[in-house]
Amino acid sequence: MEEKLKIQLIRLFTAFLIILAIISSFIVYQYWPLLTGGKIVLATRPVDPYDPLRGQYMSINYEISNIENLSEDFKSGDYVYVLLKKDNQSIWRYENFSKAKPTKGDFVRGKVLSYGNNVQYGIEQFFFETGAVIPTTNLTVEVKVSDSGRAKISQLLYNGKPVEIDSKGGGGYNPFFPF
Amino acid sequence: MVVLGKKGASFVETIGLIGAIMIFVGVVWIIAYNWEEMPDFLKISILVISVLASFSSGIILRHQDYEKIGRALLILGALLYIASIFLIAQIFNVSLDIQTTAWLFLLCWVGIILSAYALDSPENVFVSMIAFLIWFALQFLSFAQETEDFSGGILTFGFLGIGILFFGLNLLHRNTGHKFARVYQFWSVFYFLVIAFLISSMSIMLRLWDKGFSSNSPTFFTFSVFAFSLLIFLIGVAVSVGKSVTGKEIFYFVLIVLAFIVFIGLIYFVSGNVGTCYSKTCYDFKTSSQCSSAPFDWFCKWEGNSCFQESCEAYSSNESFCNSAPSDLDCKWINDSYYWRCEPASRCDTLPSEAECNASPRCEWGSYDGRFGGGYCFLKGQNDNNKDCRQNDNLKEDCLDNDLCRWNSSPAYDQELPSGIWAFWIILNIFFMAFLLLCIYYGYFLKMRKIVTLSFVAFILQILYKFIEYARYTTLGLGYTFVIGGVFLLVLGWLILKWKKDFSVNWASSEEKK
Repeated sequence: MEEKLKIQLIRLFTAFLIILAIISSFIVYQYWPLLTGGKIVLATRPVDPYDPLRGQYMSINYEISNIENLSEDFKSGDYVYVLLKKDNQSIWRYENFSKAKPTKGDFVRGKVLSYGNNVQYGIEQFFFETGAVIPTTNLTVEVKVSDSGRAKISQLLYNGKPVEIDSKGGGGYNPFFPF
Repeated sequence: MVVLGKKGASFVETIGLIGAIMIFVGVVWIIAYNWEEMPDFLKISILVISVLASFSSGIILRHQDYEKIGRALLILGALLYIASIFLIAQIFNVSLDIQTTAWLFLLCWVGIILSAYALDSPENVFVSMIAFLIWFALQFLSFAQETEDFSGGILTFGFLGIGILFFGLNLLHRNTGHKFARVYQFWSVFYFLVIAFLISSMSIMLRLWDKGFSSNSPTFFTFSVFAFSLLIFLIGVAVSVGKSVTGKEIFYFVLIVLAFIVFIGLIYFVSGNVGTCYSKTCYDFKTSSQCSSAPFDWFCKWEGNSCFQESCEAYSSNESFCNSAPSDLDCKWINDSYYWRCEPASRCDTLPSEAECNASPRCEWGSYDGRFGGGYCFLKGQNDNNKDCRQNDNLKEDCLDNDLCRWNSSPAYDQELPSGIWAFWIILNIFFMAFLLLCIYYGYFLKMRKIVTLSFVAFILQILYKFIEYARYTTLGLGYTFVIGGVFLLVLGWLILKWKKDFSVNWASSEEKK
């Protein structure tokens, strides 16, 4: 009986290791740009939908989400490096694009979409608590970009200052009973 | 210890499962509702500790002979792990695109399947198979989205590959007497039933290969999965045949796989050739030059990378702007009790009667589909063109030769299907029915109730679906279809129930003898 219990505990310990290894690797991968990346601020055009699986989120459209004449050099699914330059309002604006990773300057890596000249950077959604109120105008997004160009949202800025989310302002929208 | 009968054990299993799902929903709910108040570290800690606590309590209860409840808690652990992955993704604002979601499901699958082996939990292998199915479908869709080429035929080959993979894994596990063998066997049958359902559906059959065959990333992905599956199957055969598996079983399996490949291949010559030839609209012109070559009275205009039909609505901002619209559009400013707007003096799609429609110089009364009667007021030029295009129904090449026509592989309601298509559809459905019976027999042969039940459910769903499909594609008339179909279903329902009853009696007596 003792032997059987010992085997069960070894099995349990192995399962713990597997789950912890996957979850911690996933967290480190996601956290890496925030930990090591350089800061840039991007201008936005947001809307406010709801995802039943993952809660309420803001779908963010950036100034650099649409790049003129991109479709001539790229096909859908290609990576594109978008070079950015800081303006006098401390917002990083589009300067150029490149197929190869730039050796200097600020840039962010995106993926070309199948329609038009659209680019996706993996920073198009910002999640918040159901029912929370977030301003949808005068928003910019502070993003951290790793050496490879992978970007992660670090915070939302309203009129250049960090957004204070009013988590109970919306009356507590219930995802399970939306009506 | 109280020994429960079969029914009692099943009741405990159900109660345990419902309890596990309730706890899962509860934990996710609590975290979702206190999202902003909790620091990220606390959110992640609660989720990870919940997973580990579920696994621990599951193992302890299983060890103490509370088998069913222990198994339910292990399932709860797997569900909480899935929730952890998605909630961590949410903390880091991970993108919602198809490819990223596919990656998340891949992480779910890997974590659950590995922990299922560690914990010796067939239930969690089952849960991981669901995550695997979602991952595969999303990954395929992501590649298809990138290449703008979704091929149902290639996806079906992918499902066939997975069916083979699970059969191969079943062989490998049977060889060592591992209890997961039955889970893989169930999922192998599941995938083959899905494929049989897909290819015997008229709607899917007509569109399965409508874009032909192209060697792009979805094809490469699918055939890589297929090749890997074949390899696992061959290894499974090499180690198990003559020991845990008979050569006869392998022979029949290979025969079934070949039959599926032949049928999927044959559909290639059928699909895409039957369909409707419609008139193009402005939105079907993909370049500026095509857009400007559209007939004058279609009012097509190229702007912002697409071709659209110019309408008075675009001039709705104020009365003077409305009055400045091109005279061909025949716009007028309306300010009634509802709202102000700029609309055509005779806007075709709002004219309710044939007489009013035909009285307008721009419009003509017509019908896309004569089956249900009624009609629609069209823009005259497009209606004339639509009539010309419809002459090429079921003639794909001729349709595509006309620059003003577009091809749709789904037949219109008023369209007769060629008798050859019906004959092929009947052959496919006979094949499916024979395959279903074979699955029922196979489940009975292996003493696997789950396979038998799955096959019966598929059988009933298939019959109901065929009835809907027949009503959709036949021009016999709905009244006759319902009467014939209703009688057919009643007789068939009675036969199935009788058969299932006899089957259950035989099963019980064979288990008693055992």
